[in-house]
Amino acid sequence: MNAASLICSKCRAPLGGEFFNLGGLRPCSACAAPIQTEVFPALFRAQTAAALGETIVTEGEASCFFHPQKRAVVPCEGCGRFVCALCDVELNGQHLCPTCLNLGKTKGKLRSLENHRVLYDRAALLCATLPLLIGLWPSIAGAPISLYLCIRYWSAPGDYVRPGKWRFVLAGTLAVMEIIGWITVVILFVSK
Amino acid sequence: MSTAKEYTRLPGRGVRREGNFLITTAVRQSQLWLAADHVLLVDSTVTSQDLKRFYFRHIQALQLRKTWRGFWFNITFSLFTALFALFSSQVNDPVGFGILVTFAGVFGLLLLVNSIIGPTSECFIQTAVQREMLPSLGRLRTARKVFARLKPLIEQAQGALTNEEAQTLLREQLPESDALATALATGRRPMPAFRPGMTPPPLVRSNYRGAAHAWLFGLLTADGALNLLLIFQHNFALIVIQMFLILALVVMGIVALIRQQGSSLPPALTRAAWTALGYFVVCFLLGIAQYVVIVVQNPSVADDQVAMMRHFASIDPLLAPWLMITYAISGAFSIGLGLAGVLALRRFHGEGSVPPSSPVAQPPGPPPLAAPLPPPAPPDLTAGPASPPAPPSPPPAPPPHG
Repeated sequence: MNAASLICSKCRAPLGGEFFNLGGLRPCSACAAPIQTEVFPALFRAQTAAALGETIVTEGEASCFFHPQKRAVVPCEGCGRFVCALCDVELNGQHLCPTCLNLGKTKGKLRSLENHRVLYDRAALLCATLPLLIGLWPSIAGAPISLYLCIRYWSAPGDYVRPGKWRFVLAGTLAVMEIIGWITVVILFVSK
Repeated sequence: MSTAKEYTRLPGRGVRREGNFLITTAVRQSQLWLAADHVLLVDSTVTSQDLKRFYFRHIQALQLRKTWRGFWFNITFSLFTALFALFSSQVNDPVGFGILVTFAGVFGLLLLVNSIIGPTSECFIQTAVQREMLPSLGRLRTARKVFARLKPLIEQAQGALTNEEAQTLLREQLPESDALATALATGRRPMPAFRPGMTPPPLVRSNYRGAAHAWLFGLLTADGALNLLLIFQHNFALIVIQMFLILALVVMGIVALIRQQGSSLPPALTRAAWTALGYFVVCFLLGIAQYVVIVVQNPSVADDQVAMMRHFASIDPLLAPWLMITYAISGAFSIGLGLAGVLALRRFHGEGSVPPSSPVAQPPGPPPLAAPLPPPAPPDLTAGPASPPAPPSPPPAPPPHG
């Protein structure tokens, strides 16, 4: 996106330079909606074209693992393979090959590439607490499911920004108490 | 994987709603978190989190727009507080009085809270590849706080720009695009240039002419007249008619709101349709309040809707000031809004379907290769079957000389 992409969020009219970095609200020239726009040098930075791998011209030069005819420019910091400029992916200062990048994303090793997380601890807590709120009977199913989630996904990462196992602990404790309660009820019922 | 203290929560909490204005398909709680080199947008459901990182060195712009949502909330809450307070002053029953005062108190409290937390806003963050809304910055005060916190961090990563420097840089980019220069001069979004082989973009505006709006405003005017008539003729038949009229109004209101999306209707008409929707909501809540009052005063009619309507019809508005005030206000509002809408619609039709300011234009395409052929003439049934047209008769032979 360049400067042309800066538009009024109400009428979608493009904003001129007189709106930039004023430190306060200014009415849009098209719809008069009060707008404050703070722009930074990245807005005016020219888009760099993707680098093409250079062809090997002299014998004995290191070649790219993926393109043997291209000259290697950097080793991958994940696997050590030589990669050409075309295959080199820079991520937060690290140089990686496409394979390592893909593996890092799918296996969750590259934390900065993670864009979705399933929160099993919250699911377990929900299964343990919701039956208590809507009536006790659903806990016959909810408590075992909660306990299963606690055991099966104990090592799974929890909340991305507030990590911790307390939800698993609380869910497990509640689930065990509910299961014990149901066992006691059944024993009492059978003994009568 | 130690992540403790890696993120600090930024002020603000909002909701990202997905779907259209009628149906919500998903609701996610949205928050912003600050890290050493980026800001993280976390959209959470009960059991999952969606994460988006905006690195300081990639952020191109932060945008804030003050909205009128908070103001309209205040107007609505004030209206309900006043109405419930008015109703409660007209009710002698202690239970009904308590219920209505509670309603008034709840709306009053909402008004107070909304006033304290201040005006609303809408914020966006832009990078080279995306422009993302930040629902957590839904209040102007919070948005300013967050901007004040983010701006120095972004400037530390990229450098600072003054207004003059930004204008100079923008002018340097402008010659690249004549369309942008025109757009900035006129305040309009540039249309993408058409190239041969390119799929024509969809029309910006539909050719909807406002038929549903005409029905809506006509029905509103009729509803207003009926409300005024009910002050003097409060009977069961008219109340049933009004019930069906309101049902038709709600249906036409929804149809009008759907049809006006992407149309070239002027803002006056679209706002009138939204105002009508707000009016229906107010009427609905007033109906609930009236229902509560009647049920509290006459518990025997609570189970029978017809008996309740008959009981309601037996109330004389001239003897019940709260009912007369309700009819008078709603009648005047309906007629006012309906007539204003009809007039706006007539003006719109008078000006033509497309106002000159709206960007309604077919994308420029290649010119037609030839003029369209006229339709073939219908066959002459009086002529004989497949008989060719008779050749022109030869000129009459000249008379013989002599």
